[in-house]
Amino acid sequence: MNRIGQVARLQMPAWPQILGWTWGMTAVTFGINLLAFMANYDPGDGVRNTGGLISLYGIAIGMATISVNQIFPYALGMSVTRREFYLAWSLLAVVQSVVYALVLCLLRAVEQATGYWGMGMRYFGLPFMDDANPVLLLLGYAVPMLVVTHLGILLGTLYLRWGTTGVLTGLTLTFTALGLAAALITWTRQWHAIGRWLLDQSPAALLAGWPVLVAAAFAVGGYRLIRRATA
Amino acid sequence: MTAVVTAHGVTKRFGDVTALDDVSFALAEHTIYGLLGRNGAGKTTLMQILTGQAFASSGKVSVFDAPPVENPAVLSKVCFVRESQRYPHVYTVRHVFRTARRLFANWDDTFAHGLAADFQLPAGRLVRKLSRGMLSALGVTVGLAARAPLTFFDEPYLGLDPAARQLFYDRLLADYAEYPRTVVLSTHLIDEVSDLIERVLLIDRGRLLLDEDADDLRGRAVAATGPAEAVDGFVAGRTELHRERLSGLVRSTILDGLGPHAKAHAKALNVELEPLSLQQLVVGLTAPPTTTAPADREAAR
Amino acid sequence: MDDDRPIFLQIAELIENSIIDGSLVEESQVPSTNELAAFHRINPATAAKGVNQLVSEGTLYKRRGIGMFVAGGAQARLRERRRERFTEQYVEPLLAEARKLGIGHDELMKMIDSFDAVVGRDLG
Repeated sequence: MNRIGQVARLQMPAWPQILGWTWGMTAVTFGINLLAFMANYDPGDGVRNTGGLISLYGIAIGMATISVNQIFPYALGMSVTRREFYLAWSLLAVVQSVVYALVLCLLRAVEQATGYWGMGMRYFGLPFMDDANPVLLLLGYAVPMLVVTHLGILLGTLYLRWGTTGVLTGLTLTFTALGLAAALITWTRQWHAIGRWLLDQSPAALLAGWPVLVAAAFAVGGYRLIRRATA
Repeated sequence: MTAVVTAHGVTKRFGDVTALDDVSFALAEHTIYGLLGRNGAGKTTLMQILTGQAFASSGKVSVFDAPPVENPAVLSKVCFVRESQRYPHVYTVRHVFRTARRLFANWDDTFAHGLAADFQLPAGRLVRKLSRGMLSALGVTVGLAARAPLTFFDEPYLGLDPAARQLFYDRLLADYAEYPRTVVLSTHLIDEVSDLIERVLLIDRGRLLLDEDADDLRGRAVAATGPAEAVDGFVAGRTELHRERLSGLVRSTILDGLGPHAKAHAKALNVELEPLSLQQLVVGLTAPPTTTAPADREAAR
Repeated sequence: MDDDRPIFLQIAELIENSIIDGSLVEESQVPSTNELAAFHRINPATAAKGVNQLVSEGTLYKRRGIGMFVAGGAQARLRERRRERFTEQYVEPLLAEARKLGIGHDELMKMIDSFDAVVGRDLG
């Protein structure tokens, strides 16, 4: 485990950059949302949600991809095995997800304390979270972050194996598959059943249960890819 | 011989290009090898396969008695200084040393910083801002200070001026004397390293042409100069690599160990013999088929 | 280092030369293989091979834990061996070249005498 820790520390010099870009861009998105709300502020509106936080999760994908592409060739050059690298990066994904989740919990607390920033803008929280216990709250932030981080790692390994063509092909195939799935569901009129099934799931399962499987799938996929990657 | 590396029938294909063709050899411990060959001969591909960084199409590779691919026990004893090593965007020279210290068991930090000072490598400089020469100096520093039992240097001299190269050779020899290991030096500057290396591995178009003692190869190639008939008489029965002509004089490059009889024979025929350096031997063996000299073409008309 | 002969032989010759001309005295210590390798910029194994060659010929001997030393009587033995090779290495080519240039026996002797006198005077 110590060796994996040493390999994980390969990312350390990049942390200022990663954190800077991720949270900097989040701050910017937050600011833009705030300005928009300020322009339209009407006390009678109550609390309105913005989807702005999704940008944080989107940026995390890109950061993970870049991190893999930057550091994997170097790691190989330092006699690190692909397995060691991948385990280290999975570890970093978990740690990052937990740390970011803690920060988001904190920001949400501030959001609540300031009466949604004084203008009813719910940016960091989601409606169902008001009833959630702390553990569920943390998982609600952390697990989706884990999913997107592993997606980013997967895209990174795609790039390592097959370059830009590989990534674009992978994305195209994915969207095609999703599109076909949606078409199939429409054709068999299963949206209702799916909707009901989703509603039947507890928030815990939706946020922290099933997504973990998705993250695991991404992780396994990325590992299979990186096993044959060369620098 | 304790074999540190054994390669058996190693072949690598990229589509319909055969980069390595049935290469077999063994590397002993505590020896400096020269891995020679033209650009594109397959040297880097071979080293990548030996270090588990690339995969052979077929054949078997054994490093420290086990396949190197994804093998931490083996790879922890290996250091591959690549000519085209990529470094993370944000890394400084200092970061490289710190990570090397954590990842290489035998890393000597004092030695590394001493080498950095020798090469005038600024510790705080971003690696991506280093000149080609400094990048090579960085690679060479890591390769030496890691003190890995099996170390590969892939064209480590690129961008290094002659003084810096001499510094590298001197430091390599000195450290090798104190901490013996297996070193594989891939280079085009053959004359510069011919005194350092003990054995020569010559790769040409994916094939292993030579796997011999460097000392045995000294004087193996000879230039025989003299009048055409005399040289013809001398060359008969020997392997001729190359022939040049200038009016009545012919110079033939011969690949053959010359015994005392040969010297007497040459003297009798009035043929001058000149031993060729290792570099000239390698060039002679790997050059494209003989191109006729202008004087030759003139005579052929 | 020359191209035509193995390096280890050249190293052995350099040490022999030092013994013959007296700069390496009998029973004195010879530089270590690492020192030789560093100085001549050659592989330590090659330097060791050259030294071992001299040990096997009896020119050097090893003192355990200390190093290599010049054997007693080495200078005399080496001189004798060189004398034996002198004819083949120096006299023969000299005569061959003289013949080529048409320099007769008497003229050759005169050349040697006058040159020797000059050299002798310079060396005092």
